Amino acid sequence: MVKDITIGQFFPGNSFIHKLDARAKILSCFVLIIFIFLCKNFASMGLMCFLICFVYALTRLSPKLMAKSLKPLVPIIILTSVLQLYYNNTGDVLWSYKKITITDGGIYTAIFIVVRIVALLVISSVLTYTTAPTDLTDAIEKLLSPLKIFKVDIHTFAMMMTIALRFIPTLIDEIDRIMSAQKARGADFESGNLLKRIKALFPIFIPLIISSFKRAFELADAMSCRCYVGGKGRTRMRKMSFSYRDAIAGVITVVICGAIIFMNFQFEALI
Amino acid sequence: MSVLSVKNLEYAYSKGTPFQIGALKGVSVDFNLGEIVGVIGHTGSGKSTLLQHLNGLLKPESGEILFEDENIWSSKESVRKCRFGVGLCFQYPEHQLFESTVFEDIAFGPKNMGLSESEIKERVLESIKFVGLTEDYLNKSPFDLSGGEKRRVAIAGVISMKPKVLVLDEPTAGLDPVGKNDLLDLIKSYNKTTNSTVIFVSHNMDDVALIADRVLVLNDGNIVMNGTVPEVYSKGSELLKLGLDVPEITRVFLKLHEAGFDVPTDVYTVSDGKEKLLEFLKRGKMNG
Repeated sequence: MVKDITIGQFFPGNSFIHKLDARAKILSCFVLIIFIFLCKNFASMGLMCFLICFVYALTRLSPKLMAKSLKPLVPIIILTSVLQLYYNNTGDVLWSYKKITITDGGIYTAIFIVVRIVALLVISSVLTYTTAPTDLTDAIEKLLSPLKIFKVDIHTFAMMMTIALRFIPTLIDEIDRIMSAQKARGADFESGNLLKRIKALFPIFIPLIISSFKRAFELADAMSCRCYVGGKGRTRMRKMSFSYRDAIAGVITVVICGAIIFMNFQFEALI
Repeated sequence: MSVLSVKNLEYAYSKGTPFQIGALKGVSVDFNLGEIVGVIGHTGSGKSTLLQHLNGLLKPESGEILFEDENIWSSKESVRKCRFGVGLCFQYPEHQLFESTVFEDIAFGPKNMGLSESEIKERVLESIKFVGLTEDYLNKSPFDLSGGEKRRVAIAGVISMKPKVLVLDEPTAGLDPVGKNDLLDLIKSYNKTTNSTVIFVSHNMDDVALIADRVLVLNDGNIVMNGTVPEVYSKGSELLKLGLDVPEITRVFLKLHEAGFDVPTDVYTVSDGKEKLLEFLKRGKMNG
């Protein structure tokens, strides 16, 4: 049950997208996310969707995988679009009943909201699915390094992220184990009212927090033993380098973004 | 009489994905009332998976588990009955302590059983004595105890449910020799005084030889040997092939035998070894 969580999971592979430099992936992902919100009509949105589908196909990951991770979010997506239908009353009235008015503006917004949320999830999943966590944090550290002139401790921040990502599976395993142990003593997590269920979580979280602290101290000791003193003067084992692939990805991103701006001017904005 | 029996149990992890691992491939075994069964096998042989099926934490893919002749998955009540009837104590059980006092922690199981206050108190007192701690411990925080004491408290938490079958996963892992022997004595005395069945997993062949009546050897999801300690341990070469070994004391006697001394080779515990060695020396004196 707990093991279904796949936040930030990485699926090793050998595709074009996998081989891209992590910095290039983060930057393109960031730019595309901004442009998802700038798509104002079906032409530009369609182009964006086509690009995202194309990128996902390039990862050679199964579409089922994406569908599985979208599944738990379906209720939220439906709820937001229904709310849009109800609250957005711009444009021509198509249908009305008592206080409920459905307008074409509302319908367009609802459609765009659904497409945008799905597009956002897919593009950010492509990033985490195809990038090893260590590469991801290395890249974030590199990309944020200009902030160093403001005395922001980028290295520590990146290290914290690496450690946090690294321990997600460990903690999930631990929760599983503690839950089994308490179940063996007759704890019941599956029935009862909300209050009872919340109370049933104490026997899991107390041991979990205690062991997390213990593990954190041990990890800190282990790092000190290997002379870790922070980022100062630290060199990297793997150097990141841009290649022709990153250039291709960059060019495609820029061209698509340009096309989206062009289409926004060319066609009527729907929202 | 068999109190718990496993019939054609099959189970696989990550089913339906490329990562599928067959953990149990058709295991059948009976556990009799009042016996101590040692389960051995190298890492990944399916020992822990088998244990978690015994009290219904894992649901078998095929096959069934009968507790007191009732399939434990036949109804919601039967699963619950089995959870309390078969007390499972995980590896490093001290990691599951969570209450503010030792008393509360030991009382967690009996409380879940829905027993009365007085009954709970009685059981807590009984179990803390059983694991060799005094009543002074009851008001302490479990987190202030030493590692060995914590483990005793955790085991008391399982014993307090008075299970007919006590299942322990590597109960002696990480304990010092004295603590280890104490714990094995405790398990043995629980078995003797309550006439309950004890099933325990161990990596340590010496521990198994010391207290087990019967030994199960698991390999790659199958039971490959099932017999008394001498029956199983006499197959030293087969055990070696499975990545296991005979107890140290047995190895000493095997070497002595190899070196030409007329000593028996079916020695599995140190105390037995002492007797046999003294006997041998006496014989030597008489002859020479």
